[in-house]
Amino acid sequence: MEKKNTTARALALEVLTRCENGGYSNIALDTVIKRNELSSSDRAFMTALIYGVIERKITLDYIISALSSIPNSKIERDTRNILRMGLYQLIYMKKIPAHAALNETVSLANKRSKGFVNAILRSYQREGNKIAFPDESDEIKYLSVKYSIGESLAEALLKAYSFADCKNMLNAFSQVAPITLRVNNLKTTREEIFNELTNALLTDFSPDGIILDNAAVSELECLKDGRVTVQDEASQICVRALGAQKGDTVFDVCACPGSKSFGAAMTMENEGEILAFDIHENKLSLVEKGAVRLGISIISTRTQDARKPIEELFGKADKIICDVPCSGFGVISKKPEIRYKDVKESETLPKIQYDILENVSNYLKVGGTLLYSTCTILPDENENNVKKFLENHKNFALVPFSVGELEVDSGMITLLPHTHHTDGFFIAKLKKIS
Amino acid sequence: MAKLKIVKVGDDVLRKKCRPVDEITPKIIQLLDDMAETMREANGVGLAAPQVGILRRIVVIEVEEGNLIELINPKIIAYAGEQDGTEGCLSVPNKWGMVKRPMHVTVRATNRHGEEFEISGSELLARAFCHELDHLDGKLYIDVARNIETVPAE
Repeated sequence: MEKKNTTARALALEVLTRCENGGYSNIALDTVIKRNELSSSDRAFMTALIYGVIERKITLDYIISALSSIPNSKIERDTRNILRMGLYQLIYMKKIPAHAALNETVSLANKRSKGFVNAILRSYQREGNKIAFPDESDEIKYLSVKYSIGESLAEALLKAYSFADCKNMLNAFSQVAPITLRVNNLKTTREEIFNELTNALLTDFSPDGIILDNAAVSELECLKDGRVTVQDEASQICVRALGAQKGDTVFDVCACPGSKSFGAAMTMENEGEILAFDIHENKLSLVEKGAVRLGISIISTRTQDARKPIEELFGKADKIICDVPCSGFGVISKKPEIRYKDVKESETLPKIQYDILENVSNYLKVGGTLLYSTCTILPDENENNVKKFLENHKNFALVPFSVGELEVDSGMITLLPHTHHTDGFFIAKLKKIS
Repeated sequence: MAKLKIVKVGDDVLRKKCRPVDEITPKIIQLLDDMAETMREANGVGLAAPQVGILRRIVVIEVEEGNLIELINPKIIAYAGEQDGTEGCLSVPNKWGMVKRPMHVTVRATNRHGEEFEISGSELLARAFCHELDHLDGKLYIDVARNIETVPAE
């Protein structure tokens, strides 16, 4: 029988290997957790280590290159991941005693590379503080190494934002993202949940939100029984900006996994009609199951490509939620792999997004409201698309909105982590005036 | 001592029933030593004689480093409970699968001095007893495993 090393560090290495073989980190992590019996503290440590290494990969590799005479590409895959894990613990996990981080991480290496791993980690301890980061004059390289993002993303951000803004934004993205809950007013009140939870804070703008600090979310009673749902404040603001009311007919045209439909149903007090479309039929069951858990009965689902015109829907909706598929660069604090995605892969998205917006705008009644949103921070998918739409559709106009103390007079806004303490998110509120 | 070659899945020898050991000869002692070395070298926690191409009822197990268990003509005489977990086999490279096994297992066997003894184990040791003793009857864990997956080596 083959020996299986099931310490938290060995399993973290296994997950990192699976990710490099094309697995998604959350799925690889779930698989390993299911297949091995781990204590809750080991599970928490392993999860933090895995996501930490993925989040800081470019920074860690830069440090490895600085300490090693062997080029990074020549270091074996497992050895490289072991080095990244060791450095991550030494640099970012201050509560782990350095000797434990060192010994237990070195022990994962095979016989050939143990000495090498040990030498690199010890030389970091001795002279790690002397490693020079790229100079700020090379802005792309600096942002990429310092904040561990792909160079194409650094370049795209610098085109849209100042260097100082980029630094603040990326710094905010690198902080641990808090968990934000949306209170289900069909079942409870914000006060009740706030009093029930320890370490809870109220969201800055959304009147429905509660921020949790360091909570094991999956174990929350109020989440299990559907009194709250997990939703970033940016999405909550988006739902509030829509302003759906009792009795409205609402279309959510790229609905999965359904959180905006749910939010709209809650603000409508479960009276009216919500039609949730998505192109992925298999994901729509998530929407249906979620609605049941939350006590929502006004949502019906339909498999539908939002770019394809359906004439029977023309002029039928009071409100439309148009949360289009996007590059996702606004949620890198929650989905670490997105940091390294090549911006080129997203070049086709603005056209798809525009086509969706243009088609579904036909579904709106005159006087109705359409909310266009993305979870990205790149202008081509956001304001540039909206501006182009308005140029071609003179019967639409941006309308000012406010949510709590957030006032958006221009009718569109990019929420940013360092200014609004939310995910990076874009919202535009459009009205069909004739 | 010598490191032996480990037979891989597909070879018929892994599917045969092994004969009991009638007499503990110097050759059997040598085989026990070689199997232990082979197991350690291959990063295993257990090895059965058919895995090195020899159809005799002999198993070595080392779940805790330095605590080698040698089993000649072993038999499971009691078991209890249940555990479910990942298992891999030196004869089935780069694969892991979920297997349900008893939580506690007691084995009766003969040692290298020809003395009969009993040994009990839980968790990983119980799993290793079951896995290795199955080899002696031509059974592999992949016959009963669920969700087998491949984790490529470097």
